Amino acid sequence: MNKFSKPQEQQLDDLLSEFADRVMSGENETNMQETIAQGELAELQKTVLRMKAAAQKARTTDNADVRIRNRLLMEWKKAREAERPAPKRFIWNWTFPRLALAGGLAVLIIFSAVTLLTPSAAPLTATSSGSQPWSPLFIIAGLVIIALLLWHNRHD
Amino acid sequence: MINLRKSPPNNVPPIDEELVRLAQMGKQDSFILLYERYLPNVIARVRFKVPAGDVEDVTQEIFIAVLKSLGSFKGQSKFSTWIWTITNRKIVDYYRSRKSSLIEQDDYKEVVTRNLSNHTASVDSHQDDLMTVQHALGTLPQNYQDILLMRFVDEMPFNEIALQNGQSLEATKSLFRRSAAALAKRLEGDHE
Repeated sequence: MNKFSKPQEQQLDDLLSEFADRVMSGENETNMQETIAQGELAELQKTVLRMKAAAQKARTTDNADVRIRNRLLMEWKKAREAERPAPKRFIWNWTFPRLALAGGLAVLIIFSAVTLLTPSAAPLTATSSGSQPWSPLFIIAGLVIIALLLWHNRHD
Repeated sequence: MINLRKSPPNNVPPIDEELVRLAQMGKQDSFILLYERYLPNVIARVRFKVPAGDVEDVTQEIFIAVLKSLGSFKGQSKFSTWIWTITNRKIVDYYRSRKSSLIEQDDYKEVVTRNLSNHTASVDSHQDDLMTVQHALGTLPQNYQDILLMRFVDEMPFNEIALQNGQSLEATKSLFRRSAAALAKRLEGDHE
């Protein structure tokens, strides 16, 4: 059972809290010692001073601050590097569909170059009347492959 | 002639949230400033909860966690509240990792008390007041420990503690006095 009435309890709560606030605001400890009350409050005030002193001691970092800081700087660097965009992948890192498409395009270009640039055996007079029937097909196939490559690149 | 120029902004230390914003933009110096600002209180909080041999590791883990989740800090709460949340979570993680099985809250308290007691046993408690207070504090109920650490280690004013705990200011002050009384009793017990 409480020794004090409710208003007295509340007054003690306020007095101790106020004392703690003064201690935490850095008021001179000697002055604080002088203001210590009598009775139950005195014991609590001494505990507050002791707790404050212990907390103050617990704040010492020794050399840990330098070690932790160095580790944090390393972690910071790692985190920054991870945020940077990935470098463009080289051809040997390409995925299979892209490689197949690029290979197909290369074959098509070589084939069309060979077909179109090889001198025809037909007489010169016939050249103007469409002697290269495959050329539109090569062009369309090339455009399709380029479009597929671009599409794949965007979704990769 | 009156100098109308404003005093240099360096005189006023930047607030936490401003430093966080700059750190989020990639300013390393701002993060280091935050680290320097919070290290003493974080290490003190850890020291009251964790055996001395592991204090540095746990503190380091806390700041690495802060660094890694800095991008997710949106400023909805105060930075100090956010860092205390991370600190407490890491301390719980520490005890969880030490005990592979699931630790209930009561077990956690028991482990904390035992760990600190074991550590204190190796030191003459009369020679080291910090150890004595640590030990006595470790035997108190969790809510008593929390309010004392919030006020003395985290340096939170009573109105802020009340807000964080969802209590009235009167209830907070009352809890504080009961906690101080319990601590006084334990310290008296240690002394005898």
